[in-house]
Amino acid sequence: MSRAAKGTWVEIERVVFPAQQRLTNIPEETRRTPMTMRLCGFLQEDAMEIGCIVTVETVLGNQWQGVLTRIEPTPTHRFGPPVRELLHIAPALRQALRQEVDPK
Amino acid sequence: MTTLRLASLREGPTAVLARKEAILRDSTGLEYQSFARSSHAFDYNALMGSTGCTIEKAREIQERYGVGRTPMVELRNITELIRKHAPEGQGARIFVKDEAANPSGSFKDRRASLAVYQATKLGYPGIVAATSGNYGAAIACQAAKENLPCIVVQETFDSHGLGQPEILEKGRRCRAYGAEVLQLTVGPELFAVSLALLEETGFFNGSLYTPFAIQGIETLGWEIVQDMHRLTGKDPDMVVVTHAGGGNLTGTARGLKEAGAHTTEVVAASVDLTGLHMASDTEFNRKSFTTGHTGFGLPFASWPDRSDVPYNAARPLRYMDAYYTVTQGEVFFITEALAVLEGMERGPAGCTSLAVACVLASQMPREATIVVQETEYTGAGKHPTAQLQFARDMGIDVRFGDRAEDCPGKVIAIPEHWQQLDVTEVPLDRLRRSYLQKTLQRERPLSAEDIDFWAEDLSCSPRWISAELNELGQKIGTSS
Repeated sequence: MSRAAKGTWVEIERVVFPAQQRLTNIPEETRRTPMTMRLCGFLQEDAMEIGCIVTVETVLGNQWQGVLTRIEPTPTHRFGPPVRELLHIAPALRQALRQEVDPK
Repeated sequence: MTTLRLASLREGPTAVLARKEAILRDSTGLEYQSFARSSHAFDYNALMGSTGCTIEKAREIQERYGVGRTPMVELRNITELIRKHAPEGQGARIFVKDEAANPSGSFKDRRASLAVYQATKLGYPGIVAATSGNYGAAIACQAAKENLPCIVVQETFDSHGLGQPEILEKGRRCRAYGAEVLQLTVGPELFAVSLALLEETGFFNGSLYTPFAIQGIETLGWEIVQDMHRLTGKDPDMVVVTHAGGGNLTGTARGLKEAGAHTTEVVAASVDLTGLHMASDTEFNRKSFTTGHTGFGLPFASWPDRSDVPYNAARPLRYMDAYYTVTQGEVFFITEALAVLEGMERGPAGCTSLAVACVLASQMPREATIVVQETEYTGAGKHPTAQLQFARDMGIDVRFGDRAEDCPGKVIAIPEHWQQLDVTEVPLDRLRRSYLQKTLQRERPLSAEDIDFWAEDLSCSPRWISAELNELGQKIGTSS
């Protein structure tokens, strides 16, 4: 496994509330899980692996501790592949706009 | 350099939530209790007036931050298409206020600019905003203009670390403006995290629901009236507002009135997500819309004070003339229509109100005008293709179909034809009744002043309130 050097931009995760501390008026499936928090910052220690407890310093200069989850995290959201149902809308609308409608 | 520990959270969320009032007072500079008039009523006008900010002042601040004065665009092809299928003489002209032209891509810059201005003026060392929406990006963007440190707290993931693509994009945008982004798993305890952060940092609370955040939107209503007078010579007959937390509708309606448009009908529009619980870890990622939906729209209309401030400045039932919902599939259809018929590729929020406007326009005379009061930016994660692929990955059936087949969390039915579009009306009396029931659950004594307050807050007659209270077995002078 690759090790991240000090100063690398990384993501950490920390538990905010363990399951037993969660509010009682929330759905059971949520209450069974801990509330966790992820954030990114510059790694403060050297040669750290995913799963290690580390400290990061954020862009604001705040220091947070947590478990190292991703090294140089890349955004995972995209545009996605073409969706057939959407592709049919444009020609249908253009044709509808051209079409003469019988006067009512 | 500060080490943030959120040590106050070690005992669980309840302890910090109990200190809510003091934390909110210190983090907004507002003495909320000074507006109380009885155990239920408060002086709304005094709360709104407490900032000393007029529309002119708000416009001046927004001009300094590059916010507002967005284009008003007539949707000529969409109007023509509606007229082809409408009864003779019907088919109102539809216009859209292109709010995507704001610095961070949505109308939220209007509220954020005033919050950041206030934070700076009062000398706070930074600003915290708890939001998964465009507001986070707007606060981060406006804070950047003042070199004000900004922390955004987002509900982002389910317990498996899977993030809704639209929220991931908004998180990316907050980081692009230099904010520190704290991304949480699902649950209302987020509010406790936000309070603990405010307490530990001494930052300003950039809540969506302070008077500043609402006054920032009043300029939008005001500009709509000026734009429409220039383009059509009269007030718009109807303004359709995508409704979630209520601030958009409240601010816009107040701005319309301020500009003298007293007869303009203010219509709320939300995406129907009935059946999906907003705090459910397993249902969180089964929705394709992260705002502008009934999961916020209904509870915030019927119980505005569920928000993160003691008295919410966003009070939609004061200003709402009607409320309609549309399906997720219908909004995706209209989003495509706006791109291919009008050359405007925009995000889902404004398209929710556009879907409603298209249906209502066909029932209004050709001389009438409807304004859809916002658009938002689109991009990776926010685009219909991204949302629909994510929905399919979550096992949701995406297919052509009629609105009757649409089932939030299970089926997204996308219309094939224009004529399939329709709306569902939410009866306002149902929301008013629900408001009264929730407020009575607080078990505080009732007074005659409360009836007048509720009549104003719900935009109905004191007689209606009295009749409803009777029905609920409540009497003045007794404890509810």
